[in-house]
Amino acid sequence: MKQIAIAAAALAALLSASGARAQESVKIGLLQSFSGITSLSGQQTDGAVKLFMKQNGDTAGGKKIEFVRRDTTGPNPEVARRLVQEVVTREKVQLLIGPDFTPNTLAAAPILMEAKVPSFVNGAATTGIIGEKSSYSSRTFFATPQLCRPLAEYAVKNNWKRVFVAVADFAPGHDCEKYFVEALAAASGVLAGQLRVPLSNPEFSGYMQRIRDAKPDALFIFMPLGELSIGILRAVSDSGLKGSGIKIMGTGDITDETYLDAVGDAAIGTITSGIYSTRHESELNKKFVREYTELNGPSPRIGWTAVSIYDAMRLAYDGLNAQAGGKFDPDKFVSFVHGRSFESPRGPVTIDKGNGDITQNVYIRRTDKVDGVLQNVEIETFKDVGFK
Amino acid sequence: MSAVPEWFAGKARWSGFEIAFWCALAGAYFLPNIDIALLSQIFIWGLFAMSLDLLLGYRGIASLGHAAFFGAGAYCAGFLGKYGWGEPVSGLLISMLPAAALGWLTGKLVQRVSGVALLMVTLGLNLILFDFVQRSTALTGGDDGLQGIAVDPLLGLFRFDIFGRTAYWYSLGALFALFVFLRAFVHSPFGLALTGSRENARRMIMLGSPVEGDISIVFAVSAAAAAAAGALLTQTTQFVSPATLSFQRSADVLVMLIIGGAGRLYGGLIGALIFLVMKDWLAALSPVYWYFWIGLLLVLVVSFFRKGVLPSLETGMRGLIARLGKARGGGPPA
Repeated sequence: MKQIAIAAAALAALLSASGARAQESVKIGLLQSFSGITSLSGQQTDGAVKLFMKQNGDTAGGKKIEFVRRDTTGPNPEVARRLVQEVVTREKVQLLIGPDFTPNTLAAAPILMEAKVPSFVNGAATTGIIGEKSSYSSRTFFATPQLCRPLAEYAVKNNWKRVFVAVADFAPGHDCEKYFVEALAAASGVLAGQLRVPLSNPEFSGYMQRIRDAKPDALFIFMPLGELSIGILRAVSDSGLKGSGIKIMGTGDITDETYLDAVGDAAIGTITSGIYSTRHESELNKKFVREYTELNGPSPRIGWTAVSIYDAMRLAYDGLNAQAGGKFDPDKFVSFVHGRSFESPRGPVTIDKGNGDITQNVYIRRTDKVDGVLQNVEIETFKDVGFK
Repeated sequence: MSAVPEWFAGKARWSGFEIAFWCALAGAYFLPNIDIALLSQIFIWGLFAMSLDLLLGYRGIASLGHAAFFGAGAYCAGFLGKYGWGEPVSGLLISMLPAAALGWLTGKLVQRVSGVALLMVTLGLNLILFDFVQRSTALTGGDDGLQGIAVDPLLGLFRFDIFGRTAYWYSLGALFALFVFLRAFVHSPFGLALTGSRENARRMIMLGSPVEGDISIVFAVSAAAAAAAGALLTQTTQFVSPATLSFQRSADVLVMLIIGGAGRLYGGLIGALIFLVMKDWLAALSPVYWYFWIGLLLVLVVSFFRKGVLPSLETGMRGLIARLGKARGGGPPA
């Protein structure tokens, strides 16, 4: 009996000792899609974190940074919520990057609020998911209207007044359609027609004929990252729609650098709106692209996720440094991050003081071949575009 | 004549293994550093797999769209929570009713078909519901899921906390209650008739058993249990999305049941335990390549445990006991 008591006391001492040590480190949860069809974002997450740690070391505010990586497996709120619960209650992470996708973000918010864990939202672009019900979250990605509105203005300004709108038939697509059509009407453009493309196995040729018959000046496309974007750009080119003088536009998803090479020359001339291009002209970005490529290799190319995660790391380090020495205080951290402006590889960025959403420059880009490589070249800048 | 009631009583008696199993589930809570959120999810999946076992294991009907009933329960509980009925226990019971009705109708629909056609009908039903929920964005929130679900504290005392403590005991309690009911159900004369129809339906008809009518009843009971699992998920997470109705879920639950072993209620639970623990463990170990290991595991389980883990262990144990020559009472769970 006595031995058991001694063993228990020793165990308790050991546990409390490790507890004391744990205070000198900060754990950051990384909840992204590391497997499945969206695993490219997981690869970029790893790449960006690796680069940031190499440039800035593995301590911030005198605390050692540790990571807990978990795979959200894509838009899967049941799994994401449990993982958030697990990393918060068992791994005791103090900060969280992720989870990605809107339904995951929504499912995780109540836990983060109750546990007071500041999080950086990435890979979820729906309007209004940041705010009152998730006051510990900040978004380093973008909000859908940010990309859709400027493009409508740009089109009308260039006298492409009749626009045909084609979106993928799911929640973000409907969202984007709404904002684009609104902005088009506000700029007194004309809606030449619209269609919604199913997410699974669409056959594009029929759609191309419908678009041609509507005789628009321009075609606006919103497709999710990946296969559908590649498919529709190829169809637009193969069907001769592109050659017939109709301007092809879309959100930057359709010409994302990670698969732009797979689209090939069919992408040339596409006008897109985006938050980041590897061709962005700034010293910071040149350094970012050079060092990222040196560290992680040229493939897969740098996309929006990499920049968004890199910026989340920036904010995390700055926030921790601002409260160096003391015990980690989540409220202080959030009030530091909200309202902060900084220079990102994508350009100037501000995290909104009121609700943690993002204000940033949006660039109109033209896809072109530069030194034999397809690139999104920035041709016009909309400054400090809000998230609403 | 007293042999028949005695036989039923013998079947209904709880063995030592069963009691130990349930005590272990309750005791797991107190282990240091145990992932109780994962265990709660295992209870919910286990209940879901158990509901499918009623159809597949006891009646021999495979359903490829069982998530339809799970999702029906999940959304029903979600709507109740959203529009003011936050009391969890009554909410759970109410959520089982629409799914039971849906199951009864499905039973009516499929009672004359069998084999591949049956798979198609259940699959089709699942897809219709999925599409309906995904497209009715005004009603269900579509892809983003239903927002604003509020669940009252359990029994007015225990609120659903972020550690998942209340969720643990609530889902374990609901699982146990439904298990006791299903266990009595399959050991009843009706349950025996089901097994008879599975083995030889024509013979059962000749005995005067209403084979076709029985299908809608077992479908209704199975659907209600699946809906309870769905409602539990909604109540413990305060969130519901179309993923509850996905075909992937129908496939996963079938895999769990097959891993565990069909036709003994515990199979679904064991299958859920193995499948989800492995998945969680492998995914944490290597977030990028874990699907490879899951695939390998499935292949190995199916090749070495032909009938599923539980029946194979049972056979192995019987052999061992016989060899040791001291066959005492209280065999493995049956």
